[in-house]
Amino acid sequence: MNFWLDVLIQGLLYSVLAMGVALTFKVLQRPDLSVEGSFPLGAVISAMALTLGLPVPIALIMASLGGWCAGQLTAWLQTKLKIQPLLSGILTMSALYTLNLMIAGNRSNLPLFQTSTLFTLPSWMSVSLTRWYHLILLLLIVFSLKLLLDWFLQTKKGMILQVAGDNPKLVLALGENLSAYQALGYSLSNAIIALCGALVVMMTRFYDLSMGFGILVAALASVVLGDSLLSSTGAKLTTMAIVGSLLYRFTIASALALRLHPSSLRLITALIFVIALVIKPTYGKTILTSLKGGDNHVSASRHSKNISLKHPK
Amino acid sequence: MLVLQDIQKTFHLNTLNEQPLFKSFNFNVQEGEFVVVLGSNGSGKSTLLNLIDGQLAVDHGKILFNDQEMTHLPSFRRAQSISRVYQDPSLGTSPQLSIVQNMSLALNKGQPYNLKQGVDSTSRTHIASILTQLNMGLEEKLDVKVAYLSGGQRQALSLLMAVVSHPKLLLLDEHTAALDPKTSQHIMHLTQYLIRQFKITTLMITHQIQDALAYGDRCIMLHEGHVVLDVCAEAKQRLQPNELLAHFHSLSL
Repeated sequence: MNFWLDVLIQGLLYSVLAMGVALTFKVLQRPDLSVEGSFPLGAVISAMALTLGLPVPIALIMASLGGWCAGQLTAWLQTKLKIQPLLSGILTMSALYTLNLMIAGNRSNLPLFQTSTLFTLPSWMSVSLTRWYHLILLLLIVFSLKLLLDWFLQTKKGMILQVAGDNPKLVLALGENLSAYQALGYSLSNAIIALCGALVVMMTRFYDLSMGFGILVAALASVVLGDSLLSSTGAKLTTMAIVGSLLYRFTIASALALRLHPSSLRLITALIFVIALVIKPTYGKTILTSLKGGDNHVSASRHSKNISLKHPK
Repeated sequence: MLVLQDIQKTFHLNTLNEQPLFKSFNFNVQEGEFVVVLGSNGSGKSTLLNLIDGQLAVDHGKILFNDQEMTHLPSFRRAQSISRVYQDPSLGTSPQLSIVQNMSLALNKGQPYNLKQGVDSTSRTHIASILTQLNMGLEEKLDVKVAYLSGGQRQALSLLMAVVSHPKLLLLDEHTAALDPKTSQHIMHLTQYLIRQFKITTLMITHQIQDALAYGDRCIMLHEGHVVLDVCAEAKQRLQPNELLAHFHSLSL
């Protein structure tokens, strides 16, 4: 039971990150390497805000605003200074490393054991319910964010944002400023990523400068995993990110449960990533139809056998 | 309505590969005209369209549009009144969005793209009724992603998206060149029909001599940045294919 609860909590917590990364990676269709800077940026801003005694909602808003500004910087480097997307992300990440140190008062970590956070259990609840309390809070947060993003992407502005990644020329042809939409995409993405950093620091009650290391590959693996399995079903971008994140955390948790050394986690992430990239998107549909029990034509059953070999119970 | 005055354009300016194209180029288009532009590769046809819609900046000279100077207006501002359809069918639509979403964005051109829902039930029926004009059955596939359409269907959609917002000027950049002969013919008929219906001044580049003769009310031929042939109305109707071809061959010598 604890295993599944942990997978759900970790999966949901980091699905916020995956949704943010999906906005640049899938919607804008541009790589954004600044993630490893904006994630700890959100964490350090909220940690400092809580240390200074500010209320939790203010800390979350400040963290998101910080991420928004980081996104503006990356977009500005690209659209105004014409620096390549890959490089501008790296530059922002590098700049944020120093900024994160400065915000924390030149400390590389901040413990939050004395302050109450979003995930602090209300006094009337029994301590045994802590994990369940976290799970319900995260479900609320993740699904509100998902619904908000789903709604936004269907508005006129949101649809142009999708076109900005899909066919930039069409944005110009519709008489809109492409750079403004790219800036919007980066800002929105990094605001959500920073929000996730804030949530993580509130959950673990410990900020560390290095908490962003390796976070991008993990988030991308989740996004690609969800995409490979679900894109053929017409699932929404946010759904794919959430499912991908849950599956990724499940795999990592399984590896740890099988007593693999934690140092091998990066290798496992790389493996998941490669597998997710290689598996055919049609497999997703096959799994779904075999789960529903209908549609038993030959190819479907053959594929589902392949899948079941890969995931022995 | 469109006036190009003393245009100069040189590629790779101030380098060893400097390549002057337009030296002192003058060109006018009247309101309501349908101009067919012919010319061999490198004659400046596409550059002409790029200068008009602002994808390229002129080195010198003026571009006037409805008596207003737009020489230094950025491309996306010019797009408010100028639409363009490219040779590549994928450039005019967003493949990840559905047909109805693409159309609703095109219909919204000129108005702000705000936080209102992009597609609602009234806009759906409106869009379906517009799509029936294409005679391609696209009104039955409103929610299909454009990525799943054929080249011909996409190009028909691109064309419709380019005209539904009532632009003042339409630029067609060999927009049937990537299609099979039958589809190409259908798109040309559609083009003629839509241009007349929406009363749009049009510049069309083509390599099809037949199309150049059959469509439009003015035909120009470009060569090395100069207009070497400019025939209107009756003179154009009398023009024979072999005459045009002879003209073409005399230039390439």
